[in-house]
Amino acid sequence: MLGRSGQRDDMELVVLSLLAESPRYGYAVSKELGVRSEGRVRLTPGVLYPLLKELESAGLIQGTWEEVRADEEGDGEGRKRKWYRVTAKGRKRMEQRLAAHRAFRALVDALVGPDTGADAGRGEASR
Amino acid sequence: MSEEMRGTESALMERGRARAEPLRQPDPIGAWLDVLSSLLRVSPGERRAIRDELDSHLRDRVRDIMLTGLDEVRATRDAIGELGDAAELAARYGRATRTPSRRRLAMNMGMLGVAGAALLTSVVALNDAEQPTGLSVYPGGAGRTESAAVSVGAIRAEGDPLADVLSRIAANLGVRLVVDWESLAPLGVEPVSEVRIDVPGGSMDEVLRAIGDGLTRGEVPESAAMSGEIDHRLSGGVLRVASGRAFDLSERVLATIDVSAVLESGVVSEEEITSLVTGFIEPEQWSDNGGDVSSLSIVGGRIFVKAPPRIIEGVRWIVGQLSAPAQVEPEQVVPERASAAIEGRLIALENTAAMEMAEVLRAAGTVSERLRIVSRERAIAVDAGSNALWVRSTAAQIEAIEEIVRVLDAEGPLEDRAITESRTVKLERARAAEVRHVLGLALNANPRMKQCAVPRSFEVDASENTLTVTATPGQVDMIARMASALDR
Repeated sequence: MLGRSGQRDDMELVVLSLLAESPRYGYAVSKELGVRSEGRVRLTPGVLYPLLKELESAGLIQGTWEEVRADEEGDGEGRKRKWYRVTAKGRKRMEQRLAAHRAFRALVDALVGPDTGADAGRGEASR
Repeated sequence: MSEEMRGTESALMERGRARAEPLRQPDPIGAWLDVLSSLLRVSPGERRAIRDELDSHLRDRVRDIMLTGLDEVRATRDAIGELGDAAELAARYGRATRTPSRRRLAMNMGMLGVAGAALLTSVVALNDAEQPTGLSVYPGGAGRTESAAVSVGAIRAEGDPLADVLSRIAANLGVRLVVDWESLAPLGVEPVSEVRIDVPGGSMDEVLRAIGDGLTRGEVPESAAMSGEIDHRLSGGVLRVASGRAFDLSERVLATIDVSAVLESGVVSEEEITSLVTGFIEPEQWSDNGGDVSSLSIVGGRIFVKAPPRIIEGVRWIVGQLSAPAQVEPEQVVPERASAAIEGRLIALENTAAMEMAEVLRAAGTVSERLRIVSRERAIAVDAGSNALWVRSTAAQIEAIEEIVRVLDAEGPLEDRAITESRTVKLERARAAEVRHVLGLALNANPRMKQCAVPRSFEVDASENTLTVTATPGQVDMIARMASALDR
């Protein structure tokens, strides 16, 4: 599960990447991450929302509010939803994080040898 | 599962639903967000934004969980549970909104390595009955007033301008109104800001809080973070309304605290005392951290501090902790009574914010002798991180404090607001008017009780020293138990 302090940069990269694809609100980020990782990676809301706040404070993402319209059952009326998109500064940060991530992965590959299918599967599952 | 068991389970669920019906009236998501909001140390605008965002998340999440087959009550509980402990989440938000300079400060504090200090994210020390040795306060600046004890009648507004609403409150109280609009502007508050409230009445604190919640505000700049909320003072026939920061600035006093003995002991240096104080007591207020409300210097073995009284209390508490012997051998203690030995106890809170509970206890100490903190060895500290109170006092006083805490921290009854009862409580020791003030704070501190608020009333008969309470039966019961505890 993401959320431990050592994976702070990974979390930032994942969130920025998802928001770079398209604007999303917090719950949508959380759900998308769960779907793509087939439930193996879960970003708890108690970690996700403060992270979004931090990224927004740093100018890496920008939030805009949307009034939620009532659904067929009348739920949602009056609620507000905050959508986030990546700023130019955020894209730059994402590219830096991505480059660092790839460099680190290449280093590890060079040290432990070529990736095998079995190892890759185990590595993903433990993440 | 057999048909019979299914039938039994179905019947139990039906009964459960029937019992659960009244539970739906108070919104558990709203109650949880109330608790979180009270713990967030961010600007009012940010607090509202965080609340709106999490409210939206929780309602989306509840709906998704219900799609898996769980009922609403369980889905709500699970969704809230996923967000974790409110105090921890508030702390995360606090870290997320820190400026780089405050992050550096936090790093420096982490390197101090003072045992136990890291637990304390904020400190509240209760008033001594007398000035302790080593402390002298320069009698300058205006002190806080008795305004919170004043009860305001019912206030209703449907988009009325704030200026009008405040004028009505002042007229209701029969006092003159002075509003510092300039200080309120950074909070997005203007004379024409629209107010939507319908409150049955209560203390000025309660009514102003309701106004703050029901106010349509303008843009709140980032610089408003430390302006505090709308606050008030009532004295000399004048109701003054301004930002909390404006009052802080106007009420600063100059105090000196003797720390020569602490420094001579070699346990801490001047720099460490400064770091402890400016790191733990409302850090953002200190000039060392970029604030402009409080400042301090240590010269010739004395701390010179200019700050609002509550911050000076916090400084005194820190110094008191440093002065107290770390460990006292039993044979060295010569207590007058067996109960005079000082001990500590951590009281975890479940339904009430520790900071608000400390405020109630502070007020309770002015009413009840047995709850009064009478020496600097005794103190109540707030650990906002785990939402707990650390009480350091005699065993008897800790028991008395814990009794109050348990009554107030109870989950609170969920009742039909239409059913009320009246009960008259005769007080033997405490003054009824003072007890009423503490009870007002107490009810406001408990989110569940606040949510169950009905047009309750407290009528004081000063000649008989009685308090007549009209509220829901559960509230009346809680109020009577609190009054009894305060009267002993």
